[in-house]
Amino acid sequence: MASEHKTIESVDGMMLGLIDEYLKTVLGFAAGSVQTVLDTSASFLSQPAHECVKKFYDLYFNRQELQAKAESVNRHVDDLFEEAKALVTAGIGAVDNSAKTAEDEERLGLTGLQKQLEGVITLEDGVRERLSPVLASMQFEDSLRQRIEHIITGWPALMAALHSGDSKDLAEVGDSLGKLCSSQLEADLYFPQVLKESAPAALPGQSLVIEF
Amino acid sequence: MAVDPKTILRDYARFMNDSTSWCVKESEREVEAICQTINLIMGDVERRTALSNQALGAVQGLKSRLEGRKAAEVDVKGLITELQKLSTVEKEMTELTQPVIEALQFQDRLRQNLENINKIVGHWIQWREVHKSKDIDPSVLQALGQKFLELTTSPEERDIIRRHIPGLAEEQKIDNALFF
Repeated sequence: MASEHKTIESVDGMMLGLIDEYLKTVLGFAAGSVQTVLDTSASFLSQPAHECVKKFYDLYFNRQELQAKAESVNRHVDDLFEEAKALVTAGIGAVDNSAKTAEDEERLGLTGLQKQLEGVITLEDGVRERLSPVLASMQFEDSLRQRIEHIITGWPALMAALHSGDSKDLAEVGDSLGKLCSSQLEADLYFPQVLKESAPAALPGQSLVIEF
Repeated sequence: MAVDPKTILRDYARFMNDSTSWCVKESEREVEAICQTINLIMGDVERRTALSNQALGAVQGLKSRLEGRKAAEVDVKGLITELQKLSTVEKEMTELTQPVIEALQFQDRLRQNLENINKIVGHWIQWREVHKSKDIDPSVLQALGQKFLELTTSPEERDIIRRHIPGLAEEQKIDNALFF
């Protein structure tokens, strides 16, 4: 295998696989860290508070889906190109919109648990201070996951568009990736650096927010 | 403005670098949350457990060092070492400190991996500029992979590189027990 000459396209494919696996490993570290904080919190939270926050976490982060994604880490790099090409053909924005609808529904389903959590906070003395690091951990994983997943999506999509040689493809992918930005901070990096234009103002924040 | 095909990979790599630098900053806040967790655990240990004077002194010392300290000021590796020492002072402490040590190790590896993948991508983009219109000789590809290996910190990262860049020699396993 190592004795054959490679084209730049095949080396790019290798790099996409490498970046994909590296970044998914990072997501695994973030999830591992938060899971450990969550497990540890059983020692300083009441049982109802711990169960409630654990349910909230499991539902919010949809553990099974994340595991399924992790299992696909080692898929062949050709798949990455194929997926990216399909994404370009369909338009990332369209794919993203359906994903966002599902995400919205999931978040709506969390409202009940969020209310329950707020109830626990009201009823239990001192729980606010004890929940604070656990919720901060969850918010950390949420915001990091969004940023990293955007980059995981971005590389193969850009590369496929670049290899297609069609500047329209590339422009469409660039715009579609801009729509993935989940915060003003992220957009303020992406738009000037990649699209060479100012970010649109007032992007809605999509991160996990638990107010108490 | 349109995306520039000549600079898009460099531009996106720069965006990735800045966006993941933000993630590294956020991970400092996560370390702060872990430190708060340590303080809560240690507070409970002080109240509930009959500790030896030595263990109590160690717990109080750690608490006072962590209190009010900002995330960016925390030396994660030093904290891990301190917790590892604490876990050997009293048997009960091992169970309590072990998960926190793991959480800190996750954070340390997360930060390292993000810093290293940015170095790797930066090097690849430069390399690509030189080689993009050529057939790539296996020795050239191996030299690229070798450079990537040098930019890593952990064996796990090097394993990822070997899985994607063909022809790189396996790492010699070192038996740590010989050196510690």
